[in-house]
Amino acid sequence: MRLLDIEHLTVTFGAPQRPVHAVAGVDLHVDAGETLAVVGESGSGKTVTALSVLGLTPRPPACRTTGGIRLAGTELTGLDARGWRAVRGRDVAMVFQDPSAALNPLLTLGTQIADAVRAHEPVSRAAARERAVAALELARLPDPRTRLAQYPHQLSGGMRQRAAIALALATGPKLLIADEPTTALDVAVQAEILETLDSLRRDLGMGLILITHDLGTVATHADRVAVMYAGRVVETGPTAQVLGDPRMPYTRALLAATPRLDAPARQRLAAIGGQPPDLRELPPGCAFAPRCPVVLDICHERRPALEPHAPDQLAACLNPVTGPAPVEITAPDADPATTPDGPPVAEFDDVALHYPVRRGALRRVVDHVRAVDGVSLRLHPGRTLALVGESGSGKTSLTRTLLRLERPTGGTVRYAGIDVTRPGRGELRRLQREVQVVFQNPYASLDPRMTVGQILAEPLRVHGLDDSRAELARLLDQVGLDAAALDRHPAAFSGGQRQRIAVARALGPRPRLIVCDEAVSALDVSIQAQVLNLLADLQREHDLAYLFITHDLAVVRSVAHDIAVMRHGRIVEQGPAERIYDRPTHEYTRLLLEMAPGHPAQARTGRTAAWSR
Amino acid sequence: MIGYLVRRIAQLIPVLFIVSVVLFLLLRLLPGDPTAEILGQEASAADRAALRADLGLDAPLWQQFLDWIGGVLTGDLGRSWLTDEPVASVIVDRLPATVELGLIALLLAVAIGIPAGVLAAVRRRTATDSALTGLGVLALSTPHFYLAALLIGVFAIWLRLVPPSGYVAFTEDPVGNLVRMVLPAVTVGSTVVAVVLRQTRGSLLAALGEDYIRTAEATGLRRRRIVTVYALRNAMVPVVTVTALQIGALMSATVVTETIFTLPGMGTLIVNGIFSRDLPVVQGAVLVVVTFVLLVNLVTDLVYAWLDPRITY
Repeated sequence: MRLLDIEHLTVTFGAPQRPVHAVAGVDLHVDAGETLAVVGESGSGKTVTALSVLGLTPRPPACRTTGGIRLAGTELTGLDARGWRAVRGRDVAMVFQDPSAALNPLLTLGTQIADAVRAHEPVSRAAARERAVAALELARLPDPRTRLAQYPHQLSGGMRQRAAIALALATGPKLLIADEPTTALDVAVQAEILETLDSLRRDLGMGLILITHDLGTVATHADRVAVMYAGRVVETGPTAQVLGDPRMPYTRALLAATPRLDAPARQRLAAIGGQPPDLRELPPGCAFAPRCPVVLDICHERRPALEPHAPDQLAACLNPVTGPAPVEITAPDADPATTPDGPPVAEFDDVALHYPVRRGALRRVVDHVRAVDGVSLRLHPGRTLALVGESGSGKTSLTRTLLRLERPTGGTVRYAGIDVTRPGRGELRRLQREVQVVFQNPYASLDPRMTVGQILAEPLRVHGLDDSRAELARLLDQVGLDAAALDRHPAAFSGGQRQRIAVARALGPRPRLIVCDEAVSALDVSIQAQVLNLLADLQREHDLAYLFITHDLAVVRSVAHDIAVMRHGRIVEQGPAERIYDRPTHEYTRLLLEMAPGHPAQARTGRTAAWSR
Repeated sequence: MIGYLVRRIAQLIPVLFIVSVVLFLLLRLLPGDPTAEILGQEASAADRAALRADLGLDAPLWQQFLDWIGGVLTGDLGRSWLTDEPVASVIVDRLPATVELGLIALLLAVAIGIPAGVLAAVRRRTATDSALTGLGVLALSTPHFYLAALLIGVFAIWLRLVPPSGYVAFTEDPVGNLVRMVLPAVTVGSTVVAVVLRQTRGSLLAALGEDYIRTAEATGLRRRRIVTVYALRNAMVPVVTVTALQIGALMSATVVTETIFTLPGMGTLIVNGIFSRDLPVVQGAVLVVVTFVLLVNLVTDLVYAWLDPRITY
């Protein structure tokens, strides 16, 4: 039964003279009981499409919507405010990306869910709270009745997302839209949440739209998939077919760029060259043409329509590709697994970082939080040590002791033999020059008021190094950016470009060790591959050591030589990457591997066939 | 919570001690001889010396301070040099007018400032918003003495709705008291209303842009409930902060206003005390005001915890 039918949906932002089409002529449909995955990178229009189904795009004149959206036979476009309110929650509900931001921090779960129920049904407060209990139960939140009086901050991340799902379910919607429902969660919880959504869809016969950038999630959880690029659907069809035999080069490139657990270790990822499209200045032809490896002349002139290329499979491409092999794999360049020789560049020896917990009027220390508890690690030049763990496992706290941002309460941290808590004269300068950091969020880690030139020059000036324009241009060149960038501000660059600037800044003082704290987590898949490849190249060139902090075992597959898995402030397992991936010994490592999206263990529905071909 | 409260009150002790020392020393730095102010310029040197000995001014400074602070600790704020009345009873006489003025001004600020701020935020970038924010800027930039004169001119002299000045205790004649309090309260409250309006508008707009508002909209809640419950509550913490800061500022604002409207309040008490060098009165009054402002700060922090369950002490 056809549940949702979107016809030629166009959502336009900005002034009529300079329109920006966030969504440009999208056709989508979802049947009852079906999961449609909408895949795309940031700016592809997937979230705006979802918001327009709820009528939550900004009001005109800031934003104009045309086309048709039919939900269960009712046309939604053109509804007034009251009409939309009746649809929202009752017919279609949405689960958002970050549950800690999506739930009201000052209201209890009971109030929020009961409010949603009472917005649609004239029931008493008590009856609405009973419905809230039922919804929390459906979302598999343990102990639902006591949750009613709890606030969002009293729950863990995964529980918060369950509460958000309960809020969406409470009014019995026919269609559920989940916008990156697991991106903000730990790996172990991600799989559970997706499993919950899956079974709810089955049991309640809902339609489910799963918006994601993660092809692993698509493979394991979607019946059909629509790939979006620059506001358009560029390929759509049954999941197995689209992932197994993609026709649109972009889909193929996306597949090739996705870090996978079953890929060979330390092999270059097939990055998609170029930059994500700028919706304000789209080329007249195919939006992917500037980055396409099989581009034809005509691609730059004519915009391809979405046409059938196989049964049920539509693609918008003038030069579709076929066959199971990816379009272009950059020469596999796996470097041999060498054993480390020579002295380590950094050593953690039984490091502990305990924070006192104080209670009572006299602030007596009643307990300690053991953020890091007896950790020993060694890091060798030219090698990458991946420190893997969930949020709160202590991986960032551990590296903060190396960066002298925290003083360990026990053990020693040495860099090149220097005790970092007691560096001598000159040793501190050396430490500050030779150990650099790249942070997770390039939007927050670059000063928006400084030009790129000033950003790059600052650490050089501090250490009395050459900060001439030529040197700055050389740094930018190393990360694949043009010297023209020096006079511009970070705001002028995309996320991937900003992270390159952050890498260039870290490279400036010619470090021997770079701490990468979730350095690619905030980036889109195609850009993630570019940055990971760049880091690997720079490592070979400069014999750099990386301490790579991540929560995602698949991401570090292409770069890690050694892996240490952290949990509750302790290392539960460490060793060479190959050994950890092939024969994990600790059950927690096994769990992390199994829970990673796209792992064969998740082939419960048989949908993974295409993925693990 | 109780532990926090005990600790915070304990912290007040050193603060109040330092304030007392600074206050005491600053007042001794005032130029001129108090005895000359009290006895008049023509008084003989012998009379002044006798008075000095009488007031204890011939003792060393530290001795004078210890005498005073010792009295304060035992509940004796000393006596006025000018009238020989106990300072404590002078303050008790003057406190009600100021407290009432402050309370009414604050009530006006909350009762007008918050709804006006909400209205401006909800009707953002419309004529309503411009009018309200414009009025706010006007209120902020009009000096109190000018506004007071304007209000007296219009409402007391021209329209004859209220008496131009004077004070009747609330206990004697509640209506007469309130009628006389309206203009001074509006004068002092104008600034606070404007500050509260601007802060409410700003933080409500910020709250309305949060993800949880989109979630609430996605569940089909009414706009009114989203604004008044889901957004406004989140917007209140900074509003409480600026309001509390304004209470400190109110204390100095009352000085001018009390003078214009001839209200017998703390502001006039302190100013007159300084001009006549009646230092015990000034010391006592300032100490009471400082204690009050510190307690307001403490209460503000407790209000935060009440508003936001994530804040625990």
